[in-house]
Amino acid sequence: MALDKSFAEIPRELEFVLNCVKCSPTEKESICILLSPDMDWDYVLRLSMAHSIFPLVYNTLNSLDTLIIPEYVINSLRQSSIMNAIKVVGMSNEIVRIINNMNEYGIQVLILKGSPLSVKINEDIAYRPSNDIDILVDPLEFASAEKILVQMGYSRVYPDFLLTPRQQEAFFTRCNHFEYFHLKRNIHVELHWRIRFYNVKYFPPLSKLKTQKMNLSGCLVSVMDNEYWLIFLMVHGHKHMWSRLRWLYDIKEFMKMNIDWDKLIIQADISGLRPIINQTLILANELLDVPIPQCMVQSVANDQKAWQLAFTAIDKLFININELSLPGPKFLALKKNIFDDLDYYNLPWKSKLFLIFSLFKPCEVEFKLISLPDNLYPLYYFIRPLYLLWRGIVRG
Amino acid sequence: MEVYILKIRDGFMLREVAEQWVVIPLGERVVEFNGIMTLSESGAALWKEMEKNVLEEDLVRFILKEYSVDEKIAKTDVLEFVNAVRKKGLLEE
Repeated sequence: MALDKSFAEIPRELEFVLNCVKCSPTEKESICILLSPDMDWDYVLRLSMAHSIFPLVYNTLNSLDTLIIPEYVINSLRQSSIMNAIKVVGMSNEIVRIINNMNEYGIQVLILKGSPLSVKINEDIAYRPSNDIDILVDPLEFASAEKILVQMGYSRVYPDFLLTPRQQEAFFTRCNHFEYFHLKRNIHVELHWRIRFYNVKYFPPLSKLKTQKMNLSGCLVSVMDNEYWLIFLMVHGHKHMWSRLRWLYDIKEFMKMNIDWDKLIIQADISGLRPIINQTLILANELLDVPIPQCMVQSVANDQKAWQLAFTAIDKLFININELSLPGPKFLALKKNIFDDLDYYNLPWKSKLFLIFSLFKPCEVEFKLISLPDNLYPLYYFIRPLYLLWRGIVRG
Repeated sequence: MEVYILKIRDGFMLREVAEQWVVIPLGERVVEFNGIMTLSESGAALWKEMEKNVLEEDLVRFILKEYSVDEKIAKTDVLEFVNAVRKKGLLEE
C-alpha cells in the first residue's frame, strides 16, 4: 500500500517544512530545491508554529545562504525560538526543583516528555517547545504529590474547585491527570496518575514500569525505559492524531537510540497497541523518511488498520492550516466531534458503545454547576441528561 | 570613593539561543523580569566576567586585554553595559 494519492495534494510550503524536519541543516541542497520566489512565507510561519517546529525551521533557514527568504521570516522564527528557550530552560529548572521536593518525601516521579526527552534524543533542551511539565506518580501517592505541589506554590486549575470524595473518585475513574499552575513562576504542571486512552487496553502503572535515570542539570531524573518510552510517545501522538509534526520528529530521533524491537512488540501486544506502533512507523517513514526496522516490515505491510490510521492522520495533516485546531482532541473536544473521531480511532463497537454511554456519566461540568453532598451524588445522573438537553437547546 | 563589587543577582543565567546571547530568568524571576535581554558577543563576555563578582576596573582591564580598543572607549563601553544591566534590575545593589 502507498500513500501517493494523498501526497499528490501536498502544499509546497508543507513539503518545505517537512524537509526542514527530516533533513539536517547540513543537507542544504534538498531544502534549497524547494525554495521559490512565490513561496507563501506566512503559511510557512503558521505551519512552523502550529506544528511546534519553529526552532528546527529557524536552524535550517538560518543556515541557508539565500536572499529568497524574507528577513521578517528569519526574525520571527528567531524571536519565537528565544522566547521558547526562556520558557523551557525555566521549566527544566523547575523539573529539578519538583523532583528534589518529591524525593525529599520519598515520592517517586517520572517525567513523561519535556527536557529529559530533549536530553535523550541529544537535542539542546532550548529547542524543544513545551507548554507544561508532565509528571507521572503512582496512584497511591497522588494525594501526597499534590500536597507537595501545593506547598511549592502551585494551585490546582483543573479541576478548579473543591471535590467531594465521591467526585474525586469519579475523576479518578474517568480522567488521567489534574493540572496545576504556579503564578510566580508562570509554569503549568500536569500530575498524571496513569497513562490511559480509550483504545489502549493496558499501560503499566508507575510501580510496574521499567525506568531509567537521566542527568538533567546535575539531577537524576526518572523516565521510562527506551521501549516503553517510545511506545508512550507513539500512543501520545496517535491520541492527538499526530496534529504536530514535532511529535513525529521526536519519534524519528528516538528511533536512532538503541531500541529492543522484540521487547517493544511484546509490550505493545500486551496492551493491544500494535496498530498504533505500525501507524507511527508508516507516518515516520512516509513523512520523514525514517526507515522501518527490518523486524517490523512484515508487520507494517500487513496491518490494514495501521494504514487506515496513517491515511487519516495524513489527511488531517494536509487540511488547510486555518482549520487546524491545536492542541489535538482532548476528551471534551472528542465529545464535540465524537462520530468523526471514533472513525479515526477505529474502536471496536463495544468500546464505541461504552464511550457513548460514558457521555451520560456525571462529570466536572455538573459538579461545578451544582455542588451536592456525596449522599446525593446519584442526583447527578438526572442532572447530566438535563444539562446536555439544555446545552443542545441553547446551541440550537 | 566607594568601591562597588558588581554582582549578578541570583536567578539569572546567560545562554546562547538561535545565535544570540540571551539572559534567562529562572524561578520566580520569570514574573518580575519583563521582556528579553539579548547581549552581543562582547556583552556576553562582560556578563561572564561579572559572574565572578568583579569591580568596574576589572571589567575595563578585561576589555583592554581582549579587544584592541583604547582605555577611554573601554571605560565608556563598560559603564554603558553596567548601566544597562543595572537598569534591568539584574545587579545586586
